[in-house]
Amino acid sequence: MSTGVIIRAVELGLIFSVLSLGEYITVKVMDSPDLTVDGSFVTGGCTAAMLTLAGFPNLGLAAAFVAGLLCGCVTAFLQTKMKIQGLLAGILTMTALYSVNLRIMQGAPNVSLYAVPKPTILNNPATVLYVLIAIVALIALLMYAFFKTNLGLMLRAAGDNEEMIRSSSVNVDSMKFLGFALSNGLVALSGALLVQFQKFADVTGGTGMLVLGLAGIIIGEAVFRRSGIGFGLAASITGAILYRLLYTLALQLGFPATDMNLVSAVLVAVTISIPHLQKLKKKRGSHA
Amino acid sequence: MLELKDVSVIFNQGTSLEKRALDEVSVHIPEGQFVTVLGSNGAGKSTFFNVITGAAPAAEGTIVLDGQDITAQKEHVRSRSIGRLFQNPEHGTAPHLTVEENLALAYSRSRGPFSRAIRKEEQALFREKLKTLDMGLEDRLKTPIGLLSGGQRQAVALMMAVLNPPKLLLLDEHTAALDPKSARKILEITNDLVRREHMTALMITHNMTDGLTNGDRLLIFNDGKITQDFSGEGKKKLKPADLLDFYEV
Amino acid sequence: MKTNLMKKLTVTALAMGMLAGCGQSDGANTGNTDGTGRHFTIGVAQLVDHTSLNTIRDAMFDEFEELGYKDGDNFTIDYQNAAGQISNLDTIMNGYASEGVDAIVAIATPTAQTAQNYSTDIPVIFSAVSDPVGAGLVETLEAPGGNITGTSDEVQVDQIADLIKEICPDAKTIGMLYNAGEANSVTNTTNFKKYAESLGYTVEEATGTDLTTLQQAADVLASKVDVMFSPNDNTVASGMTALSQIALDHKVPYFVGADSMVQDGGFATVGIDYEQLGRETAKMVVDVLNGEKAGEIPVKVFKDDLNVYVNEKALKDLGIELPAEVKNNDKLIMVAEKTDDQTEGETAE
Repeated sequence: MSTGVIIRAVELGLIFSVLSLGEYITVKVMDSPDLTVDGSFVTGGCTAAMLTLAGFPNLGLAAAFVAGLLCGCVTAFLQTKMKIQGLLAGILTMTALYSVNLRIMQGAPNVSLYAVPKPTILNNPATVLYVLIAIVALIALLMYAFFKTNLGLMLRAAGDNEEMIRSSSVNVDSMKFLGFALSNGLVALSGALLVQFQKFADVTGGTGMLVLGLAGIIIGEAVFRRSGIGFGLAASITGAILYRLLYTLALQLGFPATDMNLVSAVLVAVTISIPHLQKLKKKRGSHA
Repeated sequence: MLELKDVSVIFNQGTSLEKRALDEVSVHIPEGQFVTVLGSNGAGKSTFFNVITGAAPAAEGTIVLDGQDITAQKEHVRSRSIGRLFQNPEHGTAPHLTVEENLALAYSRSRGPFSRAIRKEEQALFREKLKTLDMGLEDRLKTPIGLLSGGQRQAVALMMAVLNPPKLLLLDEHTAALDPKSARKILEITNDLVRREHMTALMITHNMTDGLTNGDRLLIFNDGKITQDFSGEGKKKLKPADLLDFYEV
Repeated sequence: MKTNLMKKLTVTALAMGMLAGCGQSDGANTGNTDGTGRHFTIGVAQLVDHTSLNTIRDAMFDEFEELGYKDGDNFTIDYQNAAGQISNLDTIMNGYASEGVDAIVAIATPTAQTAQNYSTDIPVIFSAVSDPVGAGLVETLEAPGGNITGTSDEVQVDQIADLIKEICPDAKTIGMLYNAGEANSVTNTTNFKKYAESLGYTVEEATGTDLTTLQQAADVLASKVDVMFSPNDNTVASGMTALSQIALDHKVPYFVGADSMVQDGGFATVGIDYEQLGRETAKMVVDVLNGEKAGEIPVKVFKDDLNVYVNEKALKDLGIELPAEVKNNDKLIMVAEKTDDQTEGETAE
């Protein structure tokens, strides 16, 4: 692989690491995988696309984040106030978002950003890598600082032992809103960055985002095997970049892209069950 | 400190399965009193705790804590002044968080949401408090709690409950799931803490000896009502055998 | 233990990759095989598996061979399918760039848009993009401008509307059924509506995002209108058999946007031959490989000399008599329905 290809893969990996960072909050901290992301990823993209076309690319990124916050709130609302079970709440929001996304793009399922009035921050090929590194580093630092605050600690505790938090002075429902909102905000931002990077937005662009983000987290954890928020964040970022590099490599080696879904799924499944497999191996070893 | 007036908790009200888990219970617990609570299964002991914390709604009656009527208050609001320990050591602590993070969770609650959760001075405080337990926990501040033994977890949970001294401490069979040695240790610590801080505390236990040797007052529940109430000399004279008579089936 | 294993795997994979990368780049850059001609490598990327898209692809490959470019000899085709995930497209294009392909063929709009980011260095030829101007790929159809051109599968909606007028002269209302999430469908239906209304028709529409919602929409629509129309919408196409049955139940002639849809039960269309589309795309690729500038080749839209496809069984079931102008049209092709439908006991000829 030439350097150009590796750099491009890293750039894409950085964009998707924001997705993984968002999913880290729901999957790892709150222990509650959220299907809203397949929808909110696109919502972020559409919002950014429309604002970018109107000449406000940076506002578009900020607005995308806010849009994601709202998506997360909807799912949290369904879960806490309407008492709809976890995964189902996410699916409902995701389904509804399809229509919302189309409306945001004013009926056009696909919008091109190739010619825009004001260039985006990702427009310059010479600086795009550094811009993305700066963005991801900033997000990671903010997240790290957040989890060191009281609120961050409460969120972690609520995800770790909901029973305990329920009987303490923390409002569990508020924690859900906070967690889902932040998570989807980041996911939407990732979608926005992708749209500005690839210069078009498509309403079907969210398929498979949950698994993609998850794959990044899983791979990262295989590399960084220690617990703790700092390592968790580093793992998500590294894993997302590594995944994109491995994927690019696989394509180069001749694996057809259609097989990659299978490869991703197997990778995620195997990595998740490695601790269990290790236990089995130990058991057999001790009985031998 | 705590006053219940004709409090009832009714499950499945209006149906054929209606049951009065608590039946017009009235009791007054003065400040600084350590009360042990006994009773057979289903007698209403846990429901008694639940209605105090707000986990179970009172269908009838009023609950007053430190002069304030808390009957309608939500659980998470009440828990600012009420500490509770559960039978299951896993219930009271967050397993993936470290010892100091758990303690910080309990301690820093009063501060603003965006303030730093664990401060250097507080780490010193935690270490100091844990030292008094004499269990070596002061050296394991950065260990995820899930890796500690049941007894150790309960000890930390106890510390969490009293870090910001609560108005009322509820101990719900908190030694029942521990091995005898740990149970003894935790009970020792409990007594020590409650006495030292002059805490108002209620302790449910199935162990009759523990119920008799600890606390100033003993309540026995039966069928949703308090059927026996011993204090002072009366309590001191009791033997386990006597208690059996009071346990109706 | 696990970390070591992961590390070893990663190092091995990277090492293999570098070797593989080296090998491939040699082939693409120098590549004069036995001196009789340049060796060309092209990347062909498809967004998702689908009958029409597959037809285009297969016809294209056939045409390459017939024009003398045989895969494996003086020609290498690197075919990639994104499995429906747009996020995979950039990585695929990145791979092509690394290989140093001489041209990229992009099938479907998002594929072309992703390829566009690489078009400064590599010429791009798209296929099956209904609205290249709207998608931002070209400036105008006649003079694309950049380094991208291709073939458009824009449905000739005015010709279909004219056909409706010929075959169903008494019809007053037309109902359009499509998936609003498909860019091509939105373009085609917007154009259809404009033209049909200019002819005096009242146009209604109903949309769905998947087969279930489309069926429900079809049911409601068919009970309200005289004639139905769907463009070459991928979702509609995949459920054509069920949807055409619904139209039939309401005795509504169902005009469609592609010949494959007529084969699956649609009533009639004035159609693009997808084989043709694939072949034209191949010809364009060859022109570009031989030195023509992509930006100067006009986008090929199929407007003239189109075939009229009519489904025999639907014709019979609807009890319609084709008017003389249509019957005598030498471009008329009567389509026998696919024989998996024998339920009515009537066999299509």
